[in-house]
Amino acid sequence: MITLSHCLVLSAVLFFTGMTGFLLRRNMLVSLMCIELMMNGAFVALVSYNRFNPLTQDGQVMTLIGIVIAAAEAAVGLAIAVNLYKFTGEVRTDRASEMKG
Amino acid sequence: MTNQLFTLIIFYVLAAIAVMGGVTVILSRRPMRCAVGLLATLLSLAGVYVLMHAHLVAILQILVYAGGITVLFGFAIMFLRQGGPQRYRGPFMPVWVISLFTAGYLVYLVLPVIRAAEAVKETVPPDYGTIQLMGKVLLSAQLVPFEAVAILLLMTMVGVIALARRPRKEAAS
Repeated sequence: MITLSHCLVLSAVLFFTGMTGFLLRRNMLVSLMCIELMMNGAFVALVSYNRFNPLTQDGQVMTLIGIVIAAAEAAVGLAIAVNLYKFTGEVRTDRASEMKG
Repeated sequence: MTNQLFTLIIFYVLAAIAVMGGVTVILSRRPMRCAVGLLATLLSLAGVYVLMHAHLVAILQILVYAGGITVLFGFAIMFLRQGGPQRYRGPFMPVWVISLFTAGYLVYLVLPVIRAAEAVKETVPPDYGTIQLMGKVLLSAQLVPFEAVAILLLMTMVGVIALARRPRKEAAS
């Protein structure tokens, strides 16, 4: 049977995969995807803690709100990526080293 | 007992697909393959949520994440010219330093969790995670974050329009 440990290990592995990618990759779109990976690791932890304390729904509600926040964050991040592409012709984060408009 | 074993096997398969998708995201040189790896991760996590009896979360994971965010990423990847597979240029630290650090920290965090494998309370209430109960909770006890998220979405919409529009004439010159 699935224990809480299984879910927490999956959550931690996903989170650290995303963290490694966020530190390694220089493409801004891939960095955003790694942020999504990290958020999904956190959501797995929330849902599984809620599953093993099933008298409340708080973890699931938090996950739903987190999914909406992730959607908003992806939209804003991709708009920023489009602007970065307009200014530098690339979407590499190391080209965005100055904040002058 | 066989039912629980079957559930565990499904969980392992889904977790393996999720982790492989995540590894694809961070290792593939082509951004479109990264997006497909992210899609695999999100879909298999929806399966994990079904195993956790969180049905509404699983549905919204597929609808919003796999259906919305991944499409947005694919659109952005195809809209912005990437210049083919990118040559790897060194990050601010060597790759092995970052990988070793994150892997070591992961093992440090996960080992106590594995040792403390606790028994599962198999009894969930029959309406746990259903749309009906989640709707009741969202509109009564958790109404404030629900409405705050609505305001957040409105602010995001305005902000993205402000970011993506063309600059005005006088601002451009």
